[in-house]
Amino acid sequence: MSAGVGRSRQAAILFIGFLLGAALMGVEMAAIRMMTPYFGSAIEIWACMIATVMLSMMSGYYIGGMAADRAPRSEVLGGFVLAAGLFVLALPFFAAPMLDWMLANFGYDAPAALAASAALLFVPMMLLSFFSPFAVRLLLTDAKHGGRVAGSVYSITTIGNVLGTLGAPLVLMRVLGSRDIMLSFAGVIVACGLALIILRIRARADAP
Amino acid sequence: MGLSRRHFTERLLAAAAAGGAFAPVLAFGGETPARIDARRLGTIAKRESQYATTYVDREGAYLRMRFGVNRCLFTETSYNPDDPAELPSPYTRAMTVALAYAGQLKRMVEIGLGGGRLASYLHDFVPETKITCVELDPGVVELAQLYFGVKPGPRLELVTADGRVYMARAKERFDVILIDAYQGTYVPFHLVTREFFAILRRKLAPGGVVAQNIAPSVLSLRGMIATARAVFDVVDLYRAGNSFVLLAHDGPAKSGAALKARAEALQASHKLRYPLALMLETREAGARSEERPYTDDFAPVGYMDYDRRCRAGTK
Repeated sequence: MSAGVGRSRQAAILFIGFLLGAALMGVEMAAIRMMTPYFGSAIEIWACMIATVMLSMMSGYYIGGMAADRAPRSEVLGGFVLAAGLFVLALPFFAAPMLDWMLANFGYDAPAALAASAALLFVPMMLLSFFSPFAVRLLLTDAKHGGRVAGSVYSITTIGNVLGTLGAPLVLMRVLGSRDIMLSFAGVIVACGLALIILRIRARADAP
Repeated sequence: MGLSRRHFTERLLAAAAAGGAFAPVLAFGGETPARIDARRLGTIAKRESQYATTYVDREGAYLRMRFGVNRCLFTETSYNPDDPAELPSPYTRAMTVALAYAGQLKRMVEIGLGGGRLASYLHDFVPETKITCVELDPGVVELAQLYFGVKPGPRLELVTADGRVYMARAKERFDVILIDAYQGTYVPFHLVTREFFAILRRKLAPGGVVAQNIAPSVLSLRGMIATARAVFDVVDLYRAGNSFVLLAHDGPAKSGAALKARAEALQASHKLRYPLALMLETREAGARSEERPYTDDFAPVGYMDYDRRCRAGTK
């Protein structure tokens, strides 16, 4: 990444990526904790939840990539991230009644667990996954540095993932309930969304 | 490369140590001495499942079911094949005190099978009962049948399922619910919460009772008392070696005299190997705790110091 439209804005995008990476895994860990009382802790249930998140990320990367090419502006990404944050904010309030309803209608087995984890996590995880393709598009100056830009974005968000994955069970779950953990990460996501909107970063490759 | 002399000797020794245990092995077929893991002297079987590695060891007259985590082995069950009615662990004996509390003894469920000694004992000494054992780990279910004399039948049902899911779905009501779901270093959080106990309460027959094994090295005793008290009217405690057994039920507290009378009546009618009247002597009636009850939302269990759990578990 060569110098250009402000290194500080570049750093800001990467830092937001780090925070969103942590929030994504933190929300997943808390959601798994919320679902365990309903579906149990059989390994098949874990597999369903992890598969749901992977599926959401896959969709998010793909759709986010298309959206990023169409409107390569940080405030557009910010809007999506904000929506994800609001969804996560609402999640603790509708999770219990929704899981009750799904159990009553779909049973307790793996397909039901897949459906339930999709209902809880698909939308926010997909929207959060818009970040990576958007960030690449926003930070890219020329094809020569494409590899480095993509590499930075993926490594910083993955370090965030690691922090969220370890931090939620090792630190947060000792002192906070799943609901409070979820709400805390929702706060982080909303703040990141607002920051992206305020920053109003344009794609550097498109600069005249 | 052939079997070295040293390996051969080890196997021979292990086979000798296993002794009578080979009888059930051969009787069940499939399990031949060649498949038995004899790297550790005394280890006669090993199952790796998606949840844990479970070992069967022989120590003197006893077979033990143990879970291996790192280099620590946590003993879950001891069984004397020559005397199947023996309950070597104090907590297993203490769990049977639930019989003195329950209004009836027709239907029982046990969450967490282990070697299935408690269920087999209740099955054998309480002929009017039907008991269902719910165990998540299929490896444990298999070993319990192969080595620990658990024989499913019309009055002893084995179900491989998550205990909470099973109880939530159960259409029946139970006179006695026994909770003993540990896996060496931890206890699944969704089996110790207020919401779980609320499910159990709904599945109790009138006059029914819940008995839970609490290993204080793994699970906070005060936390469990608070959780049970948040749901049930009465919580009694029984000390059993290093463990406690918690008894929870609704309705008025039971007097010592009433429990003693019931214990004696049951002794006369059922000839229990371990008389309940003896266990009643360790009763701590009306346990209370100011601790915050565990909930589905917040249940920080399984965070106790690993070394301590390891030492406690391998004692």
